[in-house]
Amino acid sequence: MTTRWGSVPLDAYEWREWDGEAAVFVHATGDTHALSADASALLAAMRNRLELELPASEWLALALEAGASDEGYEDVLMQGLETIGLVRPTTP
Amino acid sequence: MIVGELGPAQLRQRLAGAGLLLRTGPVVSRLHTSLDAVWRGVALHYAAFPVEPDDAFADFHVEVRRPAGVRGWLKPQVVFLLDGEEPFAPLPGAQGFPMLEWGLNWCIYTYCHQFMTLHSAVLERGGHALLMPAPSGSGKSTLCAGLAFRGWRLLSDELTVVDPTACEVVPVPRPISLKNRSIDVIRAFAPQAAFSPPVPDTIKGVVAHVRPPQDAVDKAAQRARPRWIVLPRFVAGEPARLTPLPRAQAFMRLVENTFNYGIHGAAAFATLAGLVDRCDCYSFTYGHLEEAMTVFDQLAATSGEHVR
Repeated sequence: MTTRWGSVPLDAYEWREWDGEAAVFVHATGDTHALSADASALLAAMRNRLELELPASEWLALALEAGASDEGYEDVLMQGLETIGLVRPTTP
Repeated sequence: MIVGELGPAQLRQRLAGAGLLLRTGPVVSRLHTSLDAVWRGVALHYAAFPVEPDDAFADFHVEVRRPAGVRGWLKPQVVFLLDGEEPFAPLPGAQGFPMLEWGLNWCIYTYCHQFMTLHSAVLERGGHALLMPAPSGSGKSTLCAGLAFRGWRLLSDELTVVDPTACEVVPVPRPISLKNRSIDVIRAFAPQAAFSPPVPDTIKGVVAHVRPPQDAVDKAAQRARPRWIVLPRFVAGEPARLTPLPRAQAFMRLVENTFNYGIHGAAAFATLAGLVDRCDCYSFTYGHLEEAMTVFDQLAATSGEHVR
């Protein structure tokens, strides 16, 4: 079954974006991370649709509309964002 | 009163007795020492600095002295004390003044958490601050010393102190620490600069300190607005090249170079983001100091037209 993903609440982290690249501060861990342009676009798409839970491929399609490149590594991106606490998988 | 108004005998007496209350920007330190090389260093480098009254509040009570016991005289060592405690292992006896300087830096970045403190040189021109965060060995202090003797005001060669409320850089002018070949480079570049005797065999190699220029001391109360972040790197023989740096990358370099980032947490993230918002960001490689001066003169001239 395809994993669906959703954004964690916006107040779980601080977010700043400059020229398409972002940095985030995650409150739960106290860690700061730099996001690539593609990861930033993916997360931005999710931040704008907090109510949605979609497969990674559908999130990437939305990110592509926002300018992300289509490298076909949406699962890697999503798992990376999960590792640092910015997205969450949901069980159907 | 300034340190230079005390005669040598009086300065030595104060340092050996009740202590000298030395103001360096927002920090007041009560210094104690009986060591010849250390009081001579204080006399040379801090002559223009204000002395606070004996009963004034001191942020730090520090002393550099010989350790008790045999290492006080056999292959003598020096120790640095803060409030009577020794936070560091002893150093060889000739390293008293460098140890005082390193210790005072440590005091600021370990305890002055009303500020954000970055491992970064910082200078000012036209009210605007140039931040140069970089690790040791990158050519940061050499470049900083060069700029400090060519029209830029030294705020610090080592610590960028930021008031997080106002997002302004707070000057903490102190002697510039140079290492190894940089010492001769700056001697040739700025013959007017006053140096302490080079100290060999430190953990950083040969170290010499340069007295901060007079205007750095005179304007120590004048803050500066962040305007440029430049990540410098010396590469022998390379032409000077200033390359725009994506702000997100500059931000992460600031994070890496902020001593008390973990203490401030989310507030630090916001403060550093505010710094980046206000600055043009570049990486900079150079192989010749004169070329570097030209680049920074042009940067100051062109950037002044669209100050944020």
